[in-house]
Amino acid sequence: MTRSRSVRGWSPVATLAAFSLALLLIVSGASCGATSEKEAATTVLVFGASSLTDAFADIEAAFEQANPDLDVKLNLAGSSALREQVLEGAPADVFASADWRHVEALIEAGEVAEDAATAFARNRLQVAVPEGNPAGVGSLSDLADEDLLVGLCATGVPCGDLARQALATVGIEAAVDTNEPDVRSLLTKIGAGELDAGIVYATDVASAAESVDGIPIDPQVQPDIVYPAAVTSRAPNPTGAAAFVRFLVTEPAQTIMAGHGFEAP
Amino acid sequence: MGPVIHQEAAQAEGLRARIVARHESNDRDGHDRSSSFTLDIELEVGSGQTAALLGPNGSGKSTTVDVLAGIMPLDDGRIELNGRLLDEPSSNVYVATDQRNVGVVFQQSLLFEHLNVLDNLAFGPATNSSRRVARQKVKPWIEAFDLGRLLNRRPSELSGGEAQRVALARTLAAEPELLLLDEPLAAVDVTARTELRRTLRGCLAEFAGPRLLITHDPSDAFLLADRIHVLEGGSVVQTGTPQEIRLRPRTPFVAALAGLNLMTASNDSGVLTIDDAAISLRTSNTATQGPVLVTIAPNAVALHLESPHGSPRNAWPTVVASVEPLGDITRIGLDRPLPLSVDVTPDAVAAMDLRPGLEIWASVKATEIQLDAA
Amino acid sequence: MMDRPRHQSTRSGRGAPARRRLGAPARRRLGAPAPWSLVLLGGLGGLLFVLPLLGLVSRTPWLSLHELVTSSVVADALWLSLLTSVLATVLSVALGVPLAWLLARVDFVGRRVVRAVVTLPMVLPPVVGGAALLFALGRRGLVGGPLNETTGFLLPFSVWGVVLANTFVAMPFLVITVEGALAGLDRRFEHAAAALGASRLTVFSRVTVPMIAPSLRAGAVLAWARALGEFGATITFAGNLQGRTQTLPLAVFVALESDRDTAVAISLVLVALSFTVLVLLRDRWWAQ
Repeated sequence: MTRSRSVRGWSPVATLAAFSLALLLIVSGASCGATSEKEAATTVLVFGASSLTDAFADIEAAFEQANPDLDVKLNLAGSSALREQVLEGAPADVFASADWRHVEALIEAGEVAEDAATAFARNRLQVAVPEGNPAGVGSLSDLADEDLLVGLCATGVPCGDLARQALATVGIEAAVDTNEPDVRSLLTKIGAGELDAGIVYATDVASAAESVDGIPIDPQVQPDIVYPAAVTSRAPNPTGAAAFVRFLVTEPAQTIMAGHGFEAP
Repeated sequence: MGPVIHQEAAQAEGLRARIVARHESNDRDGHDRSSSFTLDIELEVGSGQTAALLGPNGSGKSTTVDVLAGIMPLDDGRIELNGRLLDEPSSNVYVATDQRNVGVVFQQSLLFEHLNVLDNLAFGPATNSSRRVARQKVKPWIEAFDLGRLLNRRPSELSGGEAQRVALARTLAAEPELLLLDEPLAAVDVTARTELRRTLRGCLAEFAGPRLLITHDPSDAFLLADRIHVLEGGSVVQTGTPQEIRLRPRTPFVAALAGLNLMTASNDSGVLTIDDAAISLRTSNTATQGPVLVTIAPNAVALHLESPHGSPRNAWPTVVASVEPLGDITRIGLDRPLPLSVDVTPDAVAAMDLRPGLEIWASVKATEIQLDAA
Repeated sequence: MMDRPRHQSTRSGRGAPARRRLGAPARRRLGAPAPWSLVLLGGLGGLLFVLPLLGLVSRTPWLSLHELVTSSVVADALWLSLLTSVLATVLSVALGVPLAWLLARVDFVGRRVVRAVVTLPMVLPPVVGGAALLFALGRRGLVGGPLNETTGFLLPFSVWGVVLANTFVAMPFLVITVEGALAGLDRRFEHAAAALGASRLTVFSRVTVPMIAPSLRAGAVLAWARALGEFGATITFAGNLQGRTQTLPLAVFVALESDRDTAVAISLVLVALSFTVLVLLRDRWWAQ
C-alpha cells in the first residue's frame, strides 16, 4: 500500500517503460563487459563434449593453477550441439569433441584451421548395466533381446554412432527402446535401473561406478575413439586457447585423463 | 389451497422454523456497511398462506433465504416443512438443498444462459425424469405463464419481466413444497413490475403450500401477504396482518415502513374510487387509468377541527382511531371512511386535543396522491 | 486487435470522401493516437516472437522441404505428437476439471499445499519433472515398481509414458484456468440449480461446467499447446524412439545433432501445426 502510494505520481506505463529501459541498459552493459578485450585476454572459453565433463573439471583446475592469468570457462554439451553453436558464431576458443567428424565439419566451414586439431585422448565402449546387472546381460549380443530394455545414444550423437558401428561389426540388431539425446541421460537411466543395458564410454562407467557396472566389449569390434581438440579460427583469445590445447597433451593432463578412464591418444 | 380443516393437520402442514444463524454481511459493492449479528427469528407459515418477511438491506433477509433453502446450515433452532425436519443442529439433521423441495425465486432470475427457456423450465423435472418427460411436465406451466413464444429464446434475449416470469414458472415446475420468493420484483423495472406483481399474486393463489415472500418493499408485502413479519437487525420486531402493522407500528422503522398509506383503487379520469372504502378522491393524474396503487405519505394529510375551505378539494369528515407518539412525531390513525396514517407534530396534537373518538376533518391535495398502475 | 484493422478498412471505403470534407471529426473516429510508450514496448514485445520465427524461416531448406517433411521420421513424429497431445488434453480435462472443482469448492485440509503442488510443473524445469515421474512411476519407482511387478505394465519408454509426461506439464494450465473461472462464477446459479432438485453432481455437470465452458475451452487449448511442445519431461521419462515415443519436439532435438535441415523442417511443421490450430480455435472458441 505505502509503496504504491509513493509512486502514485508515475503512471504505470511510464514506470514500466522506465523499468524496461533500465533493464535494457543493464543487459547491454553486461554484455559489453563480457566481450571487452581485457576479459577476452584472460578467459578461455572451452566447448567440450559432455563425456569430458568430469575430466575437464579437473583439467580446468590444473590448467588454471599452471596459468594463473587465464580463466577457463567450460561449456559442456553433446558434440554436435556444440558444433552447431560454433557454426552459429558462438565465441568458443577451444573445441574439444568426442569425434573427429565434428572437427572436420568445422574445418570445412572454416571455423577451425586445417591442422589446428590435436588428438588428446582415446576412449573405449562398454556395455553398461545397472549395478549388480539384474537382467543378467552377458555380452553385446544380448542387446538384441526384445525382453530387455535397451537404450543407446541417438544417431548423430558420437556415442550413438559409435555404438551402432560396433553393433554392425558383430552383426547385431539391437532391440532399442530409447535413443537418448546424450550419453549422460542414457547413463542416468541405466543407473536408475529403468534400462537394462546400453552402450556408453568406459569413462562414463568409471564416473558412475556407484550405480553402473561395465561389461567390456571385444577389442576387435571396438571403434577407434579419438578425442580431438582445436583452437577455433575466430577464437577471441587464440593464445590462451593454444595454451589450453597444448596443456591437454602434457603429462599432468594425461594423468588426470587416465584417472577418469581415458587412454593416451 | 383452502383453509385447513383438521387441527392435527394444521400442526404438521406448512413451514415451522426457528432460525438461529450467524449473519455475515458480505457487501459486494465494497461499502463498509459490514454488520455481523445473529439472526434469531421464528416463522410459521401455514399451507395456502403467504407470509412476508419485510426488512431493510442487511437485516438478515438473505441469511433467512439461505438457511431455508439449505444453502447455509442453521447454527441453532430447527426448520420443519410439512412435518419433515430439514435442519436441526441439536439432533444433527441437515437435509441438502436438492432434497428439500424448497422452491426459490431469486431477485436476479438466475436463468441458465446455456439453456433456452424450455430447458430452463424443464431443469427441475429433468433431475428425476428423462428430458422428454420433463419437457412434457412443464407444458401446463408454459400455458399458465404464457411463455409459449419464448421457449426457444436464450435468457439474455428476455426482458427483466419475462425472465422473472420464466424463473417463477421454472421454480413451480419443480413442484416445491415451500415457495420462497426472494425480492422477486426488485430487479424488474417499474413498468414490468405492475404486470409481474399481478402474475405473482395469481401464482401465489394457485400454489397450495406455504409461501414466504422476502422483501424490502412495503408495497409488495402489503399487497401480497396475509401476514407480515418485520425484520430488523436479525430479529422480528413485529408480526401482524398488513392492517395491524399499518395502524400500530411498534418501532420507528416499522412506522416509516408502514406509514405509507397504500391502497388499491380505480382511476376514472381523475376520480379515484378506493377499493373497500366508501370514498372517492380527486387526483391530478389522469394518465394512469384503471386499477391503480395509491400511495399517500403520512405527512401529506392535513387534519382540521372544522370543514376546511380553500384549495384542498379532497376533504372528508372522519374520526380519530388511534394516537401513537413516535418520538418527534405523533401518528394519528384515522377511522372510516379511509383508514389512513397521518403524522403530525406533538404541538398540533396538543393544540387540537387529538384523542381517539374525536370527530375531525382530513384533507389531502390532489397533487400529493401518488399513483402507480396496479 | 485483429478486428480493428478489418473495421477500419471497411469504413474507409465509405468514409473516405466524408473525411476529406469533414477533416478532424472523421479522424477522431479512429481514436486518439496510441501513446508512444505503449507502441514502443508493445512493438518490442511483438518482435521477440516474430524474430525467432523469421530466423527459422530464413534457414528453411525450401527445395528439399517436401522430401524432408514427408520422411518417415517426421510422419511418425507428427502422428505421435497429435495423438499424445490430444490424449493428454483429454486426460487433463477429465482429471483437471474435477481437481479444479475440488480446489475451488471444497474446503479440505491442505488445500493450499495441493494447489501449490499442482502448479509446480509450471515452474519446474520439465527435465526435473520427467526425472520425478521416473522416480515415482518408473520401473523401480515408488508406484511404478509395484505396478510393474504385479501387472508387468511399464510406463516409461511407452506411448502412455509420453501421454503421462505431457499431462503432467499441461494439466496445470487447465486447472489454473478452470479454477479461476470457478472462483469467478456466481454461485447463486448453482444454488438455484440445487433448489430445483439437482444433486451436487448434476449441478456440476449441467450448470457449473456449461457456465465455465469458455474458460474450460481456453484451458484445454492452452494445455494442448503445452503438451504439443513438451520436450524435457517426455525425453526424460518416456525416452526417445521413433514411432513409439519420439514426438515432434524430440525429433527436432535429435535431428539437430545430425541434420540441421531436417531439424528446421520439423520445426516448421510444428510451428505450422500449432499456429493453424491456435488461430482457428482462437477465432471460434475463446476470443469472444
